[in-house]
Amino acid sequence: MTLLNNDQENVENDSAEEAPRLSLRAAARSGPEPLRAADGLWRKVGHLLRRDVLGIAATTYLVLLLLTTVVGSFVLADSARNTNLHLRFVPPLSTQYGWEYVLGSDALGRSFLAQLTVAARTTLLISIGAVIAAAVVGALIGTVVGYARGRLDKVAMRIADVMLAFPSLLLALIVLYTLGAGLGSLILVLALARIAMYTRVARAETLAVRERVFIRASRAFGAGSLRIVCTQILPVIANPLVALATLEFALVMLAESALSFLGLGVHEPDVTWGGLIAEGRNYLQHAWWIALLPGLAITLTAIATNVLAELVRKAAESE
Amino acid sequence: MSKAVTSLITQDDDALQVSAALLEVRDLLVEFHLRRGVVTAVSGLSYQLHRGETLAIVGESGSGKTVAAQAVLGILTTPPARVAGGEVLLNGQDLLLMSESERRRIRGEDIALIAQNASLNPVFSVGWQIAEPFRIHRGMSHRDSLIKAAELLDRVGIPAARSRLKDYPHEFSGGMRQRVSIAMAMALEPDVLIADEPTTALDVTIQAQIMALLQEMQGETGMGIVLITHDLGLVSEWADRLLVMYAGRECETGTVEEIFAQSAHPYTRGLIGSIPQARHKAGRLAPIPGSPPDLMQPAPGCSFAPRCAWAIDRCTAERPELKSLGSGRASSCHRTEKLLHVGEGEYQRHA
Repeated sequence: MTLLNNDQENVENDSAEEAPRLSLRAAARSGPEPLRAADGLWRKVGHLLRRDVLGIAATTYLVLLLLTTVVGSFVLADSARNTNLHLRFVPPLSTQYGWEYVLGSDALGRSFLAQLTVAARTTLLISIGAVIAAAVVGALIGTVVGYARGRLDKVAMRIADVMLAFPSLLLALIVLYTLGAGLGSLILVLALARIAMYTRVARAETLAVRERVFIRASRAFGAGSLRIVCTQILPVIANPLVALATLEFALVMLAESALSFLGLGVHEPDVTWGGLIAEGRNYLQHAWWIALLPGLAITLTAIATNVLAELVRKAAESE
Repeated sequence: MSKAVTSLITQDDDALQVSAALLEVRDLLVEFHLRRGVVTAVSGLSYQLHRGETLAIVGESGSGKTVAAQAVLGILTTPPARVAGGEVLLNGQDLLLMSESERRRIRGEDIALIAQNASLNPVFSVGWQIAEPFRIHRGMSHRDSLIKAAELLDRVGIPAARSRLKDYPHEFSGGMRQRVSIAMAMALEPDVLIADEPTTALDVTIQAQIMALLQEMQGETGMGIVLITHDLGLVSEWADRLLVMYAGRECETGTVEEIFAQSAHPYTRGLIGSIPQARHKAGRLAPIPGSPPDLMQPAPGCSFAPRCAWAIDRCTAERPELKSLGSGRASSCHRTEKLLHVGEGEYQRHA
């Protein structure tokens, strides 16, 4: 550590040749690499992960989920559709019907593993799509009004207040009723309900950043407002927004499941975890797994993303 | 010596020089419209800046020197700030009458700013940021602008410039960062450079390096520098002319030699008296008592009167106008004539 400090002093003295810098790098390499402010967000998350068992478990789960979903939706697409009335309500952990039936089957004798995997794809697609749509639109609005201030800012924030105060389920009902249920309108509804969150966070962060000297300097170089918002402010405030988006993912997934459970979700043959639970409700008495397994999947995924979101938040704040 | 000669020349050619001023500010008036009322941060500031000249604007915190500079650049945050009057002539064109897009073209190109230390965005590499003016004004490609950035870094004396382009601001020391700021400001070779406390956060040896670099750049391009500072030591060494501001108004202006030899305003004398002198350790510093006035409710008389040892009844009743003392020197004090005939010893005794 003393070695490191010495080298930094050398650099600061402006005596400034390449040599001290190189040895600084060397010193950094030999010891445990210290975290630095300008390190990328994901590098910081990786750094935090190293000491966090729960974090590792959550990340492993999410990676496995993503892998199974991507691979499974190709491999298992057919068996998710193939009905077999001889194999109705096969309980989980049955081995005699082949690996596809390891998680049992549903009322039509379809492999439940395949059902879960295909449903996971739709669920993740909707959740991720809605989160990205809301984050992009919300962050843009928030940054622009936060930078512009004045009347525009006031109007936008009151609209955001109204949107956050409005019951999102009611909003969903109205939109889904007028547009009709479907993948696109579901993403739209879920994004619409959450835009205000990103707008608020982006605006608050922008208010802090816009007063910093480098923004003023940038204006002094003749940069226009659009350039400043896009190239100076957005990259600086990206980290807290990513942290928020990770947290929001779990929320959006739960909302989607609720809507699907209520029959406002996607239509057959598309199915989501929430839809599977709704279907399984009818057979709770003798085929508990149809409701339980997708419920478990939702719970685990929500917990895992929350754990990861906490890590991302910590990393984002460590600037 | 050479400074004295140039000041003599400017005296003789005063009439000619007026039209040749790079930057001329006339009666600049800046107001802040706050919920509590209107604060007049700058009232009636005027100055001229000539090619190759360094004009220092000095004053305490809150005296309006930074606000005046931002008004000249047109980068005040409006609202609450508003330029309520005056003219800012850059090469004869009034910046205040221009549209925002016209002014944007001039910023960075003809007039540039060196801000205090933290003027670099922490999330971008230094090379990317130095190249920014080229991308904004010249529409250069990323690759071309980076080549230019490397040349600039080299010019401001950063070793191994090319390999440092990818480094981030926190990987540079304070002095290096300020060199980078200078490189950015010099990118398009502006006519006028506004340096807002360019050395405030730096230690003395680095201060001297940075000022020497600025002077070297000035020698190469002939630009005019407006040096905003509260460090009179810096002024005495690096500036040609001096303008002292107090509570948004001009107290005194003139060449650095003249003012340091015999100041015509009690506030300037107070500032000079507050400079610590390493050689005279025994003597106590003579700080100015009191603090700057509330700009929201300006008193009718001289704004410095409550803190002034020389104040007479007239000072609290009537605001002194800026009076020319000839050869570009001016002072706004009722007692200027008296002060000019009083030696330093007698001044001290009076105070």
